[in-house]
Formats: sequence, structure tokens, C-alpha cells
Amino acid sequence: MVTETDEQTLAQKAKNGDADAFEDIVRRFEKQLYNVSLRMLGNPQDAADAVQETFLKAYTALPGFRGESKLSVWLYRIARNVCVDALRKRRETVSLTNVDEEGKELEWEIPDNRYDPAALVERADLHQAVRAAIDCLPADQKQALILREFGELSYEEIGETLSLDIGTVKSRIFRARKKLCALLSPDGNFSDKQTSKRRKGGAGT
Amino acid sequence: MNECEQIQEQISAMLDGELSPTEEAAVQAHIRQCNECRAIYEVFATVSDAMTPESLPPDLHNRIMTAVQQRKVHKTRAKILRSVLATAASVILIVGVVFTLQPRGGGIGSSNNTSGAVQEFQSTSAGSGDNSGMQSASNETDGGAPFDAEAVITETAEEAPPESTEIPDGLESYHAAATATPMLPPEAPNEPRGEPTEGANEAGQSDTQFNEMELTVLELEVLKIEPGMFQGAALDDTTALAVGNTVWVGYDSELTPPLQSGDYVRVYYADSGLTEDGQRIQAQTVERYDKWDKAE
Repeated sequence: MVTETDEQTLAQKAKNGDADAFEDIVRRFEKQLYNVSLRMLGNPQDAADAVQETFLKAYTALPGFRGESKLSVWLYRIARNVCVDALRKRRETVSLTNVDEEGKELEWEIPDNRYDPAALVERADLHQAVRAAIDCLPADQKQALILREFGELSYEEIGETLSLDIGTVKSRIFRARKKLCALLSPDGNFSDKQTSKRRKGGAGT
Repeated sequence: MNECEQIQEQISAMLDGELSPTEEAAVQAHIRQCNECRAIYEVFATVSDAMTPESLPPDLHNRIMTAVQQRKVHKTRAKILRSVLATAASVILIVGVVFTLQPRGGGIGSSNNTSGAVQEFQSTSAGSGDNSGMQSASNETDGGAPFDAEAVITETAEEAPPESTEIPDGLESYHAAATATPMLPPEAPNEPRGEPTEGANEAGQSDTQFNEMELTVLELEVLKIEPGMFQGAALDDTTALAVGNTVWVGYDSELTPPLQSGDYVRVYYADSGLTEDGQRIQAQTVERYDKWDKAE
């Protein structure tokens, strides 16, 4: 767990040209940033590119980092912008060259989604189904949920990252979860009978 | 929102550790006696548990650090503010011919190697042989808008002369020693950008290994690539010329991958590389860059 003080110290050192400190920052955040990017973009290659891009931007912009927000929040904000840019680029590419047979543009918030989450619940493992379902969430809900689940940010930090108040963060994450559950359940009805199939244990008795 | 829905939102927040003990107790009390909310709790928890992170691709850490290292070298070498004069949208670069060029130093002030095309161009402007004090004359351009090279910063460094500013391996750059002409549309803003650029951010903060040198950078979009000739003459790596708002630059055919239309390039030049008429640059380096690569 990275404490806030650690973060600020690291950032200060990196700012002063300490290459090891910057590598420490990379080490501490790369996995979470990768997972956030992966869920935002939907495929490992794009996610890896996005993480690299995020750290390059961070490195470039570090001298201007004044510590007004937490380092983690600052990094996630960069990562989020990188991902949104990548999605926008992808959409432009799609609309220019890859319009499907019916001439429809693909929805940008559904990257690389070739799965029907509802069906996946029955035939594949839950992890995969959940990932596919996340891809189908509306962008605003998805970002908040991903930052919570994969970035492990608090509501306050998510609010800072996305410029939202905490109440909105809370509500978006709730709506995201509801939507996920609806996507994962063929009829959207969470009866005990249905949930028991998916339960991994731990929650409730 | 009915009571259960409110509780369900609280359940979601509880799973995220966002509730106070009192709030949590109230939620727990509710789900003990409400089947629907208990089911929601279980499903939310299950789904949340299923969102396990994936491991980092094995080579990614090194890839990131290599990229950062390259950026660092790059910034050290060319510590510059982006020129106030040009946005990528306002100037177009046509990359002209393609002579394989030897990586070379001595870009500044070296105009011996110009091609016929450039000599022809140069003949339209006076005093191009003298590259000193060019900046002061830069507002007297004819044809193009004034060239404002005000926003350069000084790179302080140790000993190596400009001739030895080697391009590090792995950077998509090369010594082009190109002569390029910045031409601004009349409406182009001449004010510094609001955002600090990477050069600005870095200014004066890291060690440098290069000679004291002021560099300005011009950002251009490659409009198209044309083979070999311009107006009947070849451009080589030391030459570039302007026609209207179009800049022609000779480039290194060995640049990998080769430049293509839609690429963006930066032309780095020193004040001393600015010709007296203010319309031509003797560049140090031309490099490809990612248009989207803006600092936060």
C-alpha cells in the first residue's frame, strides 16, 4: 500500500531527476494502470501501449506536478485521458475505414466485444463474463467502476480523477454494478436460485 | 429511489469500504430481513470478487523504462520551448526527396551543401550566406508572415560542441541539417502556448551534456511524400525550401519507419540556423513525433 507521504516523496525525488524514484513510481502503479487501461480499452496490446504512454506523459509533465492532487490521482487522470484519446482515435479509424456492412459505426464504449455476457455466464468462467460485461457499460459508469475495482481508488479519489462529486461517484458505481448484474443474469432477476449458481462463496449465508 | 434501492446503493458503497460503522450497521440490519437486498449484496460481492486484476505483461516494465530513458535523453539534448510560431495545423510540410544521408553534425550555419533547387530559392533572398543575427531580421519576411523565434530557452551544458550532438539510438531522429522555411498564415497566433510543453517543463532542471545552444522547434504535418525532385532539382539533407505555406524538407530515407503523410515532424533549429530573410532554417534535427503526445 502506497501512503500519501510515500507518494509525495517519490514524486519529489523523481522531479529532481532521481531515475530510481521514477522507476519506483512505475513499479508501484504499472499493474493497476495496466488493468484500468485493459478494462477501458478491451485488449492487452492497446492497454500496454496506453500504460507506456501514460508514464511517458507523466515523466514529461512531472516537473509541473505540484502535489496538489495525490500522485495516484494524477496518474489515473493521465491514464484516463490517454484511454479516452485512444478510444477516440479508434472511433475515427472505425468511421473512416471500418464501417461495417450495414454502414453502422461501432459504439466506442464497446471495444472488442464479441461476447454475449449473458451466455458467457453459462459456459465460461465468471471472470471472463464480468470482463465482457464491463465492456458493455456506459462510458461514465464504466470509468468510475474500473477506477474503483482495478485502480483501487476511493470514491474521493475517483471524484478527483473524473472531476465529479462523491455522490455522483457513488451513484455511478452503484448503477454500473446493477447494470453488470443485469447483463450477467439472463432475465435480470436476482433470485436466490439464480445467484446460487454464480456465487463463489463468502458473501452471505 | 425507494428504500431498498437506497439500501442497495449503500450496499455498493459498503463493499467499497465507503460507509461509516453506523451506516454499515444499518445496511446489515436491512439485508438480514430483506431477501431482495440480500441477493443484491451477494451478487454485487460475487461480481466484485470476480474482477481480479490481470498480471502485467512480462516485458511491459522494461518497455516503459526504455521509452522513458529515451525520452530523457531526447529532452536533455534538445531542451526547447515549442515555438510560438506554428501549430501543426497551420504549417504543412512536404517532405521532398530522399537521399540517403550520412548522420552528420555541423548543422548550424552550414549551407555549403545545398542543392540547385535551394540555391535557386536562396537567390530570391539576400544575405543568406550570413547566418548570424538572423532573428532580428525575421520580421521582415516577404510573402510569409513574420517568424517569431522569441520563445526559445537556453540550454546550458558542458562541453560538446554542436557538431557532436549525436542522436541517441532508438530515437526516430536524425541529423537532417535541413533548411526549412516557416511560413505562417496571417491569422496564426504569435503567442506562447498556455500549456507548458515538455521543453518548458524540463527547462533548467536536469543535467545536460551538450553545448550551450538555443533551439526552437517547429511542428509540421507531413502533407505528402514526393519522390526525388522538386522543380527539377533534388533536395538533399541540407536543403529545404518554401513555397507558400508549404515547407519542403529533405529527409533521411533510412528513417524507420519511413515518413508518410499524416506523420508529424519537429524541425529543431538554432537561432544561428535562421537565415537572414527569416524564412529559412538550417535545422539541427528533424524528428517524427506523436501528435497526441501532449503533456498533461
